[in-house]
Amino acid sequence: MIGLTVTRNQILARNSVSLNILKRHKKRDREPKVTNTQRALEYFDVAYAPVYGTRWPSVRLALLSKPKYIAVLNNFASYEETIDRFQNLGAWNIGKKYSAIREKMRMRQEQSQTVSQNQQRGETDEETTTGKSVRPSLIELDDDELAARARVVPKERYPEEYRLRAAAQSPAELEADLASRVIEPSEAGGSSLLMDYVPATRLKGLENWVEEADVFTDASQGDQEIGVTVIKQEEPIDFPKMLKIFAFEKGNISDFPQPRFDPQLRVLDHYAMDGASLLPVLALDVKPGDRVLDMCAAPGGKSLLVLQTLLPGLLVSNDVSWGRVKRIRNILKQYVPRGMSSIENMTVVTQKNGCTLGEVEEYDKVLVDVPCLTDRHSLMEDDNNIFKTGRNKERLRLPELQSQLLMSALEAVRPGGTVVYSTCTLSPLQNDGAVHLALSRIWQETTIECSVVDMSQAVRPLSFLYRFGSNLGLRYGQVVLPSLLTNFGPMYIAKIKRIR
Amino acid sequence: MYPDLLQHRPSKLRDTLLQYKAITIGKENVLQLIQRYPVLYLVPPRKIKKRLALLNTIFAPAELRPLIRNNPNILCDDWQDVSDKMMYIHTEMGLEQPQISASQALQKSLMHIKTRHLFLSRAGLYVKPNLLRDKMSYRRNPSLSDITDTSNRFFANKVAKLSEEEYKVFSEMIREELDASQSDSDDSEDEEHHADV
Repeated sequence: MIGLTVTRNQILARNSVSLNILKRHKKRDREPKVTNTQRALEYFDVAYAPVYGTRWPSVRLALLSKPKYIAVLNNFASYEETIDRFQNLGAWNIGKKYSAIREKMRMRQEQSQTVSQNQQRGETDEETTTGKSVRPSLIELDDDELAARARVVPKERYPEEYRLRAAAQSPAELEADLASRVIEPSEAGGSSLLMDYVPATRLKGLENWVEEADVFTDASQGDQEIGVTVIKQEEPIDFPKMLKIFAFEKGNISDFPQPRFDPQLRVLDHYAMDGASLLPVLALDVKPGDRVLDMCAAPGGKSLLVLQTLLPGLLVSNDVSWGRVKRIRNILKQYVPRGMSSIENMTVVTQKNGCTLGEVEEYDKVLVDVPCLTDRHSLMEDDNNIFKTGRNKERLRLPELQSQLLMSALEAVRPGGTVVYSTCTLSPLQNDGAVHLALSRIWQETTIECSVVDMSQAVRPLSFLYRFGSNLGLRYGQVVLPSLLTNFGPMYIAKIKRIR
Repeated sequence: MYPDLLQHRPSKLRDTLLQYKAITIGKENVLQLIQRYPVLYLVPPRKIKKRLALLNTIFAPAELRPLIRNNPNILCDDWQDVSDKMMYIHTEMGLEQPQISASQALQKSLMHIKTRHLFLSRAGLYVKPNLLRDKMSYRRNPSLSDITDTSNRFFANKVAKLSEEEYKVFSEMIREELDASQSDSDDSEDEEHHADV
């Protein structure tokens, strides 16, 4: 047992040595790792700054600051008292304000029209112009074409001096292909060849490597090539009469109080949502008795908004997973009283994959609020952030998924009906890019004919509420930019009418 | 403006003034400083000497002179306040003594410094320099005096190239944010029941 007599001090010393070694490798004291929200911010800085130019600092500032909410009153609860309360707080009734502004604009237009008629000068209405052409989107090329592009690195790239040097060393072996990496055993006499440093001319797997931030372009195809016509909507959007929505004016960052519980009907009196979410529902232009489908409804705010218009004849709220469907049901439970059979009979919650709905020409209106980068959310919440490395694949596949959902929506809507595509991201690839992809595939693979509705004139009366992005080269839709004064959004909408 | 001055006895007055003459900060002495910043008179010379000694441990003499010339209030302000401001400028903004002494930042409140800094930082216009790695990296940002010493309108329009209304709204937001975090209640900001749509 002699060898085992170790003194207590030696044991302690040994332990402390190993402890020191462990301490040196402890990650705590090193620089903190990049968080998911930081990743998101870096991505946005690289991707959006060139697109939004001088507006980017203002948008970035708003995205990182306190968001603004609107209050939507619950038509199924007693709302008179709530209206009074909100008006006392100084909030505007958005519907009334919108009608007032719309009236003013109409009168102003009529005045100018009569004036111009008197002067016998007609007003020119320009048709929408096609967007500017940009280089082809890399995701549309399949693997072979990408590989071909990558391999275009010509043989001349192999540095001159190596060729000359090798040639000088062993003139008899000029036949050996100096650019290839294979050295035959017969050439072994020229071991000098083996010793040569052969610089890389091509990266293996280059065809699979796409610079992420580079993939930010629209396709170069014009509208005619994909069979899309553009209709310009001249009249301002209709604001559904029954919607009672309150918001504070531009620059006012007051909060609405907590929703109150109505003890008799057992529902809440109002709910707060991002003001930009109102826009897709307005664009949908629900008419009385319409059959409406909300394809990606969770958590259910937009569905609820459609319900509150009291216009649809049938509302189907769909989402892909059980968890999300549960959230939709919860929201409906909190706002629609039990036993109200007239409402309960017309709302249906389904759980299906939007891409494979299998429903053809079933609906008058379809709202597709696709999964996207959720810019604002990704900058605020680290948990399950879409920018975490585990979700990389999912994130890169988003444009594909989005265009598939839009295609499915265009199949599900009846001829003459409308599809509204909306996202809550600023990424051009997921906005105009996905719409373009869907439209070109619809043109190639189906007999569906569509028209994109140009809403730039129609949304003008809403600029008291939103900051719209202009001069951004948007081809198919409108975008609401976050701003400190009216911190809604971001939101992109595209309205597509199915002709046949 | 300073009625307390009249309460001192004339002999004491002369004594204090003589003592001030003795304390020198660079070329000028405190007496000359009082001409520009009379509040200092009400501070006993002992305190001024102590404060100067404290500041000497942080700033080099060449930096101390412009520092006090620009921000005479640091001689009589509460030390915790001054220290908080300096720590913020150092840790959050990544700046060091030369930049601090060249500006009048220490004259302003900490809230003001934070608001101005966060306005630029969140807009992506201020990137925290790493002076250990790149000594000149602070030049990429607007200077500290451009950030803190300018009027709201100049700052918003010329330094940040945004609008003054945005800055006003932002200062309100920051005040709310900082109040909420100070009151130490969790989820105090989530007043609303939000439906994330």
